[in-house]
Amino acid sequence: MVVEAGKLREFAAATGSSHPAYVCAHADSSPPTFLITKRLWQADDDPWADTGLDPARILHAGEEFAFTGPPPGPGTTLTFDSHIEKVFTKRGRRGGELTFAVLCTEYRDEAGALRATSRTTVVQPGQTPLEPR
Amino acid sequence: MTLPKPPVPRVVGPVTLTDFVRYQGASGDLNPVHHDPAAAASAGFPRPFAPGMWAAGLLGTLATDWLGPQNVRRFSVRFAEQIWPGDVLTCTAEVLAGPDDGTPLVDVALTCRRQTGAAAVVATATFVVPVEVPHAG
Repeated sequence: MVVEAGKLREFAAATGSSHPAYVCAHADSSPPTFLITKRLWQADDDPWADTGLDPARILHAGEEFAFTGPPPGPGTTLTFDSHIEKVFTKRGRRGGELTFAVLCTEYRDEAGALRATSRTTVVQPGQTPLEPR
Repeated sequence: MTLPKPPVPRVVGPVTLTDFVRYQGASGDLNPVHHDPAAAASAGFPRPFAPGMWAAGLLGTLATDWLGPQNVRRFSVRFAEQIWPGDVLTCTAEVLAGPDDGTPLVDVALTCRRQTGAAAVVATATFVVPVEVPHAG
């Protein structure tokens, strides 16, 4: 994916930011959750296929982004690769078993340096609706 | 190296479907449960509700206005409760730990509450302590 100036401005506006580091002509950063836009560059396959979870039933439980330095700025070309990191079960507060899965994605820049890692946690089924994907 | 004071709470809303749709376009997540009443109903929800990552983005903005976009090193968000059109959100930030001697990192907690007082989205983040007070707003 390419971190694009126009997409950055659009994302910043949608999340209530007018910070010059995102929106000015010399923008040099990206918002902490901006890498979620990788989906626009992603192949259409289901990343959860190997977990046995049902894409129609899983809910978004959480998301984490870790950066090795400042977040990538506009013009940076990132290559990303995802894998299922873990699948585990927990007993729900209202009984029943919840299955969680974590998808780990690593983002490397043009030089091959690791710039960021994201972790997407989903849960199935969950008796309290959280966040459908 | 002085840690800027935590920001005053930021109130957002009443939130609208337009807020959700704008974020969905920006992020590339066009899940219809966030804007299409029929899709929300068929998924078992009374009406469309906010994308959790939209509220996460609001918390990211509060944090980066406070501590600087270049300084974030970790941002972790958990979804606790849904946000509905008409809700008025209050986003708050506080220091959890640091910076300690020799460790220029600060851990902060960010919370997005609904008008009911319930926390809808909670985040923790780690920032490098800024060397100068960043742009605010």
